[in-house]
Amino acid sequence: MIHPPDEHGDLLRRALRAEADAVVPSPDGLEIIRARIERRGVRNLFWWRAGAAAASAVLVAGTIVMVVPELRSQVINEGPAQVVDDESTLRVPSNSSTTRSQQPPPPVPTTGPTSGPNPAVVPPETRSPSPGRPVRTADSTSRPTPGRPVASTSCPSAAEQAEARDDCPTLSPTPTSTETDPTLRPSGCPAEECPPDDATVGTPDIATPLLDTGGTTP
Amino acid sequence: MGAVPVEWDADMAVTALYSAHFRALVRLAVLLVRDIATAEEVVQDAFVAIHGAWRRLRDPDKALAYLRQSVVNRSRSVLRHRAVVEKYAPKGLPDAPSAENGAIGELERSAVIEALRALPTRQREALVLRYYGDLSEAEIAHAMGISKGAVKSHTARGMAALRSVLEKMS
Repeated sequence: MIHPPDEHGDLLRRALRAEADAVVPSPDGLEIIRARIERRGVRNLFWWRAGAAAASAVLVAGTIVMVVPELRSQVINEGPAQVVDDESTLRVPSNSSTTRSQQPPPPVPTTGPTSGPNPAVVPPETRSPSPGRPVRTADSTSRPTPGRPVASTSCPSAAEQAEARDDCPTLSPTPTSTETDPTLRPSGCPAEECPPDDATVGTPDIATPLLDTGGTTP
Repeated sequence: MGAVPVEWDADMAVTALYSAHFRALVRLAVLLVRDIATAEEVVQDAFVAIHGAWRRLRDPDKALAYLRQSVVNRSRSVLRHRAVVEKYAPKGLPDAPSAENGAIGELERSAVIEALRALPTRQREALVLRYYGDLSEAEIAHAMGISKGAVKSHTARGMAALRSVLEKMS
């Protein structure tokens, strides 16, 4: 068992040596190696210099920013301000619990004139009209734009709401507006009878939250 | 063999190692990469690498082992690159010049070399390091970066693949 591999090994060894002995390397190998070493050293030196230059530039810029009080205040103020904004926007939805899509409305009531956002803010009222809305909207659009001057109740209600809002801006308008707003939407100012001023003023603000709430309820 | 005084700097060590081992390493590389020019380049790269790593080389006695391992690794990468090149631009590689008339006939030797070149890379490395470099299994394992068991396995498989050709020679 051992002999055959050794025989083959000897044959292979002789063949390899014969093949390798035929190879004569070039005599200038050492010079080539030294040239490569020098080139490598120059290349390394270049990269060291480049790295040192970049690091020193960054260091100088950092010291300038930190030394000059105006620049430092700008840098310090810019960073946290954005972070606070992001966190506040993120916290509000998380605290509003169930309805995520209605999160945009809550900030609006604080800022806006309480017309559009309020109905979207109050969850129970939006829910109660929401099941009735799709039917009413379908009916209102299809049937009775002419026949439903019943919408006339909505149009004056809108006007009254606007007035009422002007009168009572704080607590009562929020629930009342939510109830009246859905009626306004389906009537959707198809009502030609509606006073243009109030309707035009009320509709654009109301339209977007209605679309939002209608989209969120399903 | 590969011992170099510790106090030598990198230039002196490279010069001494070159005069002692450059030829043998080029021949080893030729058997691995099948091309003299590429083999010389591989060995030159290994010398440049050991020049850069000379300060980190704690044991100068291992300079030859470092060079040999570097040659094996670089030959492997050359073959890998060559395989990719041949895959997309297939061309016949120039054969290494074989001008030698020894105990073995030219045809038989060339047949063995061709069969050796047809082996997988690891098997060829194991056979060349063992039967040309006369290295032990531990040295082969260190040079190839594998275990002794893997060295045995590659050697046995390579010899089994070459057996038919070698039997014709015997």
